[in-house]
Amino acid sequence: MDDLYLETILEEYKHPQNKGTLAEPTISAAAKNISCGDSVSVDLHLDAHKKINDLKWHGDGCAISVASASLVSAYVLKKKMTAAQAADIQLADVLDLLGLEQITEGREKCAMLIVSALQQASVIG
Amino acid sequence: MVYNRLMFSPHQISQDFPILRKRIHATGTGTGKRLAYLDNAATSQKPQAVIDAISNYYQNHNANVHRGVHQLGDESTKLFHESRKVITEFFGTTPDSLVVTRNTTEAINVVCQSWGEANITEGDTIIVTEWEHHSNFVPWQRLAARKKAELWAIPVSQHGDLDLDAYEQKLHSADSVKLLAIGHVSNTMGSVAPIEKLVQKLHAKHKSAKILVDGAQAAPHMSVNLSKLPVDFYAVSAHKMLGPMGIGGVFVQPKLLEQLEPALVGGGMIDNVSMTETTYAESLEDRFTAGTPDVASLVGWAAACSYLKNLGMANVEKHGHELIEYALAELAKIPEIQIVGPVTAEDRTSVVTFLYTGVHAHDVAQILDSEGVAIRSGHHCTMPLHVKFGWAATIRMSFQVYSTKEDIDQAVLALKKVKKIFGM
Repeated sequence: MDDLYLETILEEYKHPQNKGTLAEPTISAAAKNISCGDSVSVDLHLDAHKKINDLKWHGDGCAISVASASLVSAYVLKKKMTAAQAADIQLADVLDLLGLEQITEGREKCAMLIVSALQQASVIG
Repeated sequence: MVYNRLMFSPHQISQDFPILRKRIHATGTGTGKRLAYLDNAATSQKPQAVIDAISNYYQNHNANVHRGVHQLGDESTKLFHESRKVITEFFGTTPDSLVVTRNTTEAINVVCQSWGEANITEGDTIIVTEWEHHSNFVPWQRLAARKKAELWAIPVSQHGDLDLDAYEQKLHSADSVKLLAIGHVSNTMGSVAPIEKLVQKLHAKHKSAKILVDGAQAAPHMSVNLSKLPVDFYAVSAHKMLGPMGIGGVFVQPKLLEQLEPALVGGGMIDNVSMTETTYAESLEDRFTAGTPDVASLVGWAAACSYLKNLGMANVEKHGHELIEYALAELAKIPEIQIVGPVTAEDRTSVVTFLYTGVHAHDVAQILDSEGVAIRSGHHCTMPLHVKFGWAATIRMSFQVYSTKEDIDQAVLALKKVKKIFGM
């Protein structure tokens, strides 16, 4: 499992993208990982076509959940996704972004925490 | 294997545990890492004697108990009763005091549903501590809410001390304290509760209050003699004390058990059943065993008790103490580590919990795993305690009879790798 802590993951962890809050979010939502006490909140701003044109996230977590939040947030913005599309991001997509082929079952929730928050946002929105 | 009690050797003991020979993260080309299993507070490993006892039961004696007149039925029933005797003797009590459950959580729920339902009323107070495992917290929280009773927790300091002044004040101000439900040993901090002292203070004001002790973390590491400990209910799990998973129980003073309504009713626990009413079995052992019992696990649990008895619980306790002293000294050499719970080995059992500054507990656990070290990261089922001190998650190292200083050295070496990976 040495290769779990790849350069990219550690880099994202130390310098996360899109971390913070939005002054006037269209939707705010949060998700928690009960097993490790991690939590992440997302603020989304939607344009007239319901596409996410701004996204910030905040929260504390392990290297995997922070790196995922960083990379997934950048991916959502780059692809100009709707909240529903963002909620449909799969584990395989997140692993691709992280540069991992696989992850142990115990860490899946860490990798998917940001997606859980996006799913909450989609339900609320 | 039979050991001389004067020669307690964890290296020799570890030979009795087949799983400890397993190589971790072995691949087609690599031989993997030596296993340093330091997650014993979650569950202990099982000696060959326990594995063999379970296997032998199914291979040679399996039949339902208390049924029929055939030989296997007799053998199984005999093993069932012998096992109950061995287990209860280990705890200094008698077979008619043991209500078997799947684990400590279920044991506490059984007490809550039988004794609690009948005795907790509006305005009563139930006292717990802030270090309770959820198993000894959630059942009482739910009962108190439903009965309009009060649930109050003795405050705990960051170093695992109970606030005894606050406890005494509460005993004075509360009209009717009905129950003290307390973890004998904190599964997060390792602190040992001063049971006798707490009970003495409790009974000085509230004479008829009952005491339930969650002994899940105490039973594996110290001598628990229920003929001397002033408690009414003592709950344990076999799997933390070298026995199988899925079995445990609560020891109840027989006089008290006699008055309780069984939480589970049905097969095996009856005296007479008619279309209009049922009377329960006279024998307490039968009355509180509804349905077919897990005889194989009971036999395995008894084998674990025999194994520990043979080692001598005084030796087991001394060994655990030495490991804590060593671990605290070694961890103190790593500046990033902050110890949670007592800072000395005094009044502590085999758990050392800590935080690693700047690195999440899950990441620490993952890196340790890559070096063959199994430890626990998370909230250890003590969320109120973690929230109180603002810990998202902590890292817990816990020991057993087969744990060695080499295991701790391996963990300390792996902890140095954390610093390297996270570039601090």
